[in-house]
Amino acid sequence: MKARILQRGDVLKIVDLLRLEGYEVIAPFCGRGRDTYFDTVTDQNRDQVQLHLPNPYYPPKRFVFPPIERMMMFQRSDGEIRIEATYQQPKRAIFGIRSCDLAGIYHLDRFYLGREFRDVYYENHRKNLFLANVVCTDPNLDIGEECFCVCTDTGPAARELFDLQLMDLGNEVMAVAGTPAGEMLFSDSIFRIGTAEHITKRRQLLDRLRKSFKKNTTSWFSATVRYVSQGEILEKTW
Amino acid sequence: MPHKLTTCTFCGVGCGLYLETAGNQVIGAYPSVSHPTNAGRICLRGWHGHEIASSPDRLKTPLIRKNGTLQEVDWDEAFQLVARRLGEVRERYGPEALAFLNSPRCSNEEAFLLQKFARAVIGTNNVHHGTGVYCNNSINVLLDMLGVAASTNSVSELAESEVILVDGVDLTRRMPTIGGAVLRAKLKGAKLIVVGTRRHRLAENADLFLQIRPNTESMLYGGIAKVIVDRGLLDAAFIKTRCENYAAFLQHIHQYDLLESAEACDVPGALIEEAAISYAQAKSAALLYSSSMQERSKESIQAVVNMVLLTGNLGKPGAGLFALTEQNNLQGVCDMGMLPDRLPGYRPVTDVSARAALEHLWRTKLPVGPGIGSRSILANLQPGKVKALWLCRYDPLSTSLFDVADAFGQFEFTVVQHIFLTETARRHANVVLPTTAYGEECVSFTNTERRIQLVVQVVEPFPGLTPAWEQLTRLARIMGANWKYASAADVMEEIREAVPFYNGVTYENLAREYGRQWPCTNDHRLGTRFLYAEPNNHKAFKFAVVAKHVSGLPVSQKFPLMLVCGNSLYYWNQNVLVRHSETLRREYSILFTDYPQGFIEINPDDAQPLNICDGDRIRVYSETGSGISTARVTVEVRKGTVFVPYFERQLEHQILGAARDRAALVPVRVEKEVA
Repeated sequence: MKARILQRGDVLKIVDLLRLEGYEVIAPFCGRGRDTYFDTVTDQNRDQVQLHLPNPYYPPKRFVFPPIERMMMFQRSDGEIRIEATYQQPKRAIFGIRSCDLAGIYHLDRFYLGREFRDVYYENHRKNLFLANVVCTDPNLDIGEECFCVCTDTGPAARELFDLQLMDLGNEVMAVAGTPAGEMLFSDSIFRIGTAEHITKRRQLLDRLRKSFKKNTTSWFSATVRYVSQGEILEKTW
Repeated sequence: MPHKLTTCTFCGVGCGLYLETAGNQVIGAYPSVSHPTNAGRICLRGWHGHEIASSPDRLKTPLIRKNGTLQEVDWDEAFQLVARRLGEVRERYGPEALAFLNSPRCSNEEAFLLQKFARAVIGTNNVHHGTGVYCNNSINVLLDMLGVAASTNSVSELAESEVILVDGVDLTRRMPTIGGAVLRAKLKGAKLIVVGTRRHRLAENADLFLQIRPNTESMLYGGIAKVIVDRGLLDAAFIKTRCENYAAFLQHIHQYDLLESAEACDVPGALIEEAAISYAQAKSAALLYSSSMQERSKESIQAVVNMVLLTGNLGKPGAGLFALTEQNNLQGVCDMGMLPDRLPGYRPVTDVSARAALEHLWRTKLPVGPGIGSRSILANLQPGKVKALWLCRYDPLSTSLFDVADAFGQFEFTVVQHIFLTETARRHANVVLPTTAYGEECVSFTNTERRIQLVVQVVEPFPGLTPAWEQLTRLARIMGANWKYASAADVMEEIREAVPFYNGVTYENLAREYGRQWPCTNDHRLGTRFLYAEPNNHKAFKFAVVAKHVSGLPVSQKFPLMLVCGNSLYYWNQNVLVRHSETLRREYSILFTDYPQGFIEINPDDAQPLNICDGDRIRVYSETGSGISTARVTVEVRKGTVFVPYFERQLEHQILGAARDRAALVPVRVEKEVA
């Protein structure tokens, strides 16, 4: 995975780049009070896109797996009825998707694409989907009472499944490309090569963040399973 | 996928939610995390209530009954006919021969214009909401004792309550969002006391469950008040400075005795005593009861309010009295004056100055005497008096606890405004005016905590369909009135002038926040979270003397059980809206997969000696009749009682036989039916 650094003030330029690439960009916005939501970015609302905000109640799953979708068309001609499947294949990017929602999409993929039966409707939605993950780094805004990704070992920073991952380091943002589609964006001038200091900062921040989760949602269960199953527990511990 | 913040219009909680649309269709809903009442939670009805608007059964064109069948006509013809026939009935029999009933689901604007149409255009006070067929006891008692007919505090304050007493209502099924708030408060340490005859989910979680005999509430609260007085746990300062009639109440309360109450209610005296001490010693204790569905006696409500006054649980957060309005706008339609004896703002129709103020506003003379209520009209208690009936979103044939067929035989002309062809419309309407549904109009509703909220338009209605308030405006114009409302916001402008405690309400003000809780006046435009915070802003509260009534058990060796007929948790099963939502209909019908032919509920302790198992056919005998159904053996129903859900009307009639005008409790016996 390649990583780059960009200025904090340039982060929404990634939204612009994706829109220039022809993506319909979905991003998180603040509503009334603590209500937050994902919506399509337009010229009018582009500046209101948020990097840090309370987890929207309604996850962006609906953009990957819509609850209502036209699946087929019936055509009647010469007394016969012809049925034709219709597929939607939107070129869509979800900017600001959280690591937990990425894990959710992973499980959708396993179910609809990873078995004997492949759901062609879901597959079409997934084909042109660009996922720009934002790591939850603000303990006050991003991490809520109900957040539990540390228990399931899916966050706060996702390890895979994203095309691009953005992590707020303060004045700068670290971008990690997870796929060639994400890496292609690095050709833009807003990105520059990072230093070992950035990597250290990222690691320290993640260490601190893991301790920011509320105590009733912190059990580290999945991490424990992973350490045990991957032989990372020292022999003397046993 | 566009989405808009709006309000759920299913029950009286009025949860804040977002409706998501695609094209001109609502495709989903999700809750507002910030809404003060539901705080990110909605129930099944909130998630799926929007399906009702998309039902293929929606009415789209007006219908007129010609030669016995309802036929589609154009709007002009329908309105002209309605105006002509209403005018004829008024001409021939006088304005008192017309009556206007609406559902407590109607918006504030619809309710306000319907009663204005009746009073100012027709000239009658025959206006009432559908829940009025059960009783208006809660409104009358609260107005008399507290001066305000509404819940005193906010749902969100339950989190601050030390003790929560829930009386009679199964919140987890009927108002689930409030039920959740109560359970969360309990998890945080509040003491939960449940009073009632049914062992419902809230009762299962209660610290103290007082499973009383039916209709013994006033004896229970009399006993509790006696404990509070005897132990000196009353709030003497509050009583002295803010209450009237305490001496008479005190003198009367000494007639009560804890052990006598315990015996009458069939609840251990120690439990009543513990409940009394817990409630009285709490810094803030909230008391919740249902003001709408149950036929609740005036005395039992007075006893409840007495207890609140005795302990000074008013005028502070986390305390108070919650007179829960289960239908989404029962509070609002009452505020708007859909009562035969009260004008908008609860001022009596006999109040000359109140009438004069409205006459000045509406520039017409208003009728003087109280009108006929919905119970009198629909139970045909005054035969031949009413000749024409207007029903706004109301389907009495499906929802009334009593038989309304006789009454409909008396009407010469019936108009129904509804989104569906209801059973009432199908059988009795002369004209059916289809109207807009949830999400197709912008109107306001008032929830159970006095919160006036907007419900916004998210989709376009079917061409030709208009809101009910607009139809009333058009009709009033045809009948010669000079009504000029261009929008529901215009109607609200007039409501502000007619209802003093809505004085500061504008659509712009409502949209700025999650509605406003009345009193919302020009001086307090942000509304009022809980009432009576300022000691001097209200006249003294009044204790009521509740006559002690110890009735012997009506049961005998021959008829050892008591029959209870009621709606309880099954109220929504018959609801016309539920029946037109795929998901809600399925969910509410789950019980019928086990009991496809209906059921009667009986406690296992009563069933076991009779060798009755769940699912057995049983026959219930009263002195005057008998009926057969399937036994649902459940601990939810109290030992010694047999419960017949209200939609089993035919069964109820069979059991009661000639005693159709039944006493509250009917002694019965149950036998297993052998095939």
